[in-house]
Amino acid sequence: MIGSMPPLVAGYLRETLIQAADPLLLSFAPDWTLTGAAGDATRFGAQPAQLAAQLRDVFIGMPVDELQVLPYMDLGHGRRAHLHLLPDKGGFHVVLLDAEGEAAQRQKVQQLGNQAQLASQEKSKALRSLKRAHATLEAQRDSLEEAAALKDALIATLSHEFRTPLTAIFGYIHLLEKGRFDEQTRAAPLRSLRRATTHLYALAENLLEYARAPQGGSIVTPQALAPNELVDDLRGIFEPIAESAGLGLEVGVAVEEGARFVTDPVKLRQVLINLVSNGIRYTQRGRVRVQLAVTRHELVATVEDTGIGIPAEFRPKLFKAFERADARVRGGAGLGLAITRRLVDQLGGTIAVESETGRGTQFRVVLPSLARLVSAAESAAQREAARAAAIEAAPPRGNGRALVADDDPDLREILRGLLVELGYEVHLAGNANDAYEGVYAHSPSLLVIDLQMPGLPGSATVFRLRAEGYHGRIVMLSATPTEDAREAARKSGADRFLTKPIDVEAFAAACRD
Amino acid sequence: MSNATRKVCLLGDFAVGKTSLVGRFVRNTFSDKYLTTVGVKVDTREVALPAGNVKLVVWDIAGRSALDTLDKSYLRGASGLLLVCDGTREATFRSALYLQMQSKSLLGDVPAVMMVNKLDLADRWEVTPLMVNECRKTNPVFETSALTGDGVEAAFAALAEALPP
Ligand SMILES: Nc1nc2c(ncn2[C@@H]2O[C@H](COP(=O)(O)OP(=O)(O)OP(=O)(O)O)[C@@H](O)[C@H]2O)c(=O)[nH]1
Ligand SMILES: [Mg+2]
Repeated sequence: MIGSMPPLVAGYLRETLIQAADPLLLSFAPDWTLTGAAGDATRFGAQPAQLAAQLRDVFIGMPVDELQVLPYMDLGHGRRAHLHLLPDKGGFHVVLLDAEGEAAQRQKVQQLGNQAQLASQEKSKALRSLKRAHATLEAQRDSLEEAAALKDALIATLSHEFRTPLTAIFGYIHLLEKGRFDEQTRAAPLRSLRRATTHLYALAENLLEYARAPQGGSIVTPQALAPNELVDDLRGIFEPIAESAGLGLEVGVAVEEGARFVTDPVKLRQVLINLVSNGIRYTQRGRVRVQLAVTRHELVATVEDTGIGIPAEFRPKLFKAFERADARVRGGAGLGLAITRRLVDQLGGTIAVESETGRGTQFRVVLPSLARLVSAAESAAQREAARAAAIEAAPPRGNGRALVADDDPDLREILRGLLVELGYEVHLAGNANDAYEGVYAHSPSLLVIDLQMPGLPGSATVFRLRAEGYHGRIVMLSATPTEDAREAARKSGADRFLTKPIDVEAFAAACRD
Repeated sequence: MSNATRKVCLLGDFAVGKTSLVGRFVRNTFSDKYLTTVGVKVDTREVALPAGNVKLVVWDIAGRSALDTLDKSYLRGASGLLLVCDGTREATFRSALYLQMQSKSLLGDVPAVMMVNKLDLADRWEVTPLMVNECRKTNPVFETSALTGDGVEAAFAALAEALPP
């Protein structure tokens, strides 16, 4: 088409277009000596000579005997340009065409596009982290709900457990007041009264312990068990109740010759009381049978009834964390069992159930002897000695050198003190870069590093060290207890993540195992 | 007095911090405002090396996840590459390696250095130590921050040193 253009038109167009483009032309000898210049160079931020020198750098490595086109070049001082290098006989020319307007236009579009992409990436990241936060919150809520439910359950069970002995106490007091007993017959009701009050005392003790440690960290007080007393107690407490319910109660015990079995008798009593009172509650006719078998290592208690049984679908949930469904099906039973399970756990034992609907239920509790704990807990001095021995038995990991990096000098000193106590030789750093250098200078087998520090964050150092193959243990500390922070610490390569304020025992454990 | 001039190109996805790294390296400045690069911006800086000074002509090429023909014309004559990615965006790590692979048809095996940028945001990184470790088998890797300046000088110096005389 253009080929058919009349020469006059072609000439005219050439003229107009060149004028509109307003090119800058620089001509060079093959060795980049500037041989000529035409047009306005200042637009591009320099005099022709300076520009020539700059262009020589720009075209470095490129052949000057071939056409080269470099669009949208920003040379730093002036307007952006399209560069064209045209070889010519005896040298070459470089033509600069003003591209500022076009470039600005393109930039707007590109900027919007890039920012939109970044925003959408940020959005999906934020969504992910929201989801994580949501999951954490839900888990926390669940465990709070569970704790609250357990507390309710505890109170429900306790109120039931309180009423039973209180009924006995009121009953016997009434009979005693009426003068129904004389010197000879008084012994039995008094024994019952004693048992009932002992039981109340035990319940009150347990209640206080639960109140102290709502998450189940209740204190176990190991003592030698008197199995016959326990069995007598159970008879004393439940015989009147079973009798009034028209049920048989069989309580038996078999003790291995010379066996000294150690457990927390108060807790064990409560376990059995829960199981037996459940048995009586859910048995219309027949009997409840309790059998204890005690050896020096183990106690096996079975509580068997001929009651309504527990439907198979509820059995798996029976001992799991408290389930409201259980409460609906078995009234107070699910509640009592949740606590029974906790008590058995605390005693280091197991509990299992077998049941046949309409035929009866058997609970089987197996407890280990806690004889070893008794000797360990005998005196505070012994405990201290045991602790010292434990520290000695578990010397610091690796080469025993540790590096602590925290910008807070006080915390640095505290951590140093703790680590020295754990047997480490400790070096200190106040920021992420010093920590990085410190690891190479001292090659510690343990690095304790704060996440938030002025300059680079602690995770930067952790990342670099891990990416360079550092195998020491890394404990990261942070003031932000979020799931995101934990995740970030893990991703950067930290072994442990602890939130401030530092729990001393957790810290020692994190440094160790 | 410089005894050599070498062209090096920055390759990497958009917004990974190429322009910011050059700003830190050449002018020791940083801005947190994002202004995308159109085409190429060329800067120079002299680097002192044990073997003598090198004048680096640094081509800051507009970010992309794959090379198009335009970028290829920018690459001609480059003696080395600075691959840049953003530690907070894992995809940019793969883009950087992909760009390096694509550049090979034009440049062959020129020296390259990987810069994993935005180290100051390390607590939000998606790139993992393992990925960096793996990458080290083929390229030197530097964790950098244009914001704090960490690693920037070292990365440029490492590339300058690796350039053929
Ligand atoms: N926090 C932080 N931000 C950075 C760093 N480097 C760059 N940025 C920011 O990241 C954004 C993008 O930086 P640029 O240097 O423009 O990125 P680029 O790779 O040149 O982007 P294109 O030119 O679009 O390819 C800007 O907002 C910078 O401020 C860094 O090391 N740390
Ligand atoms: Mg840029």
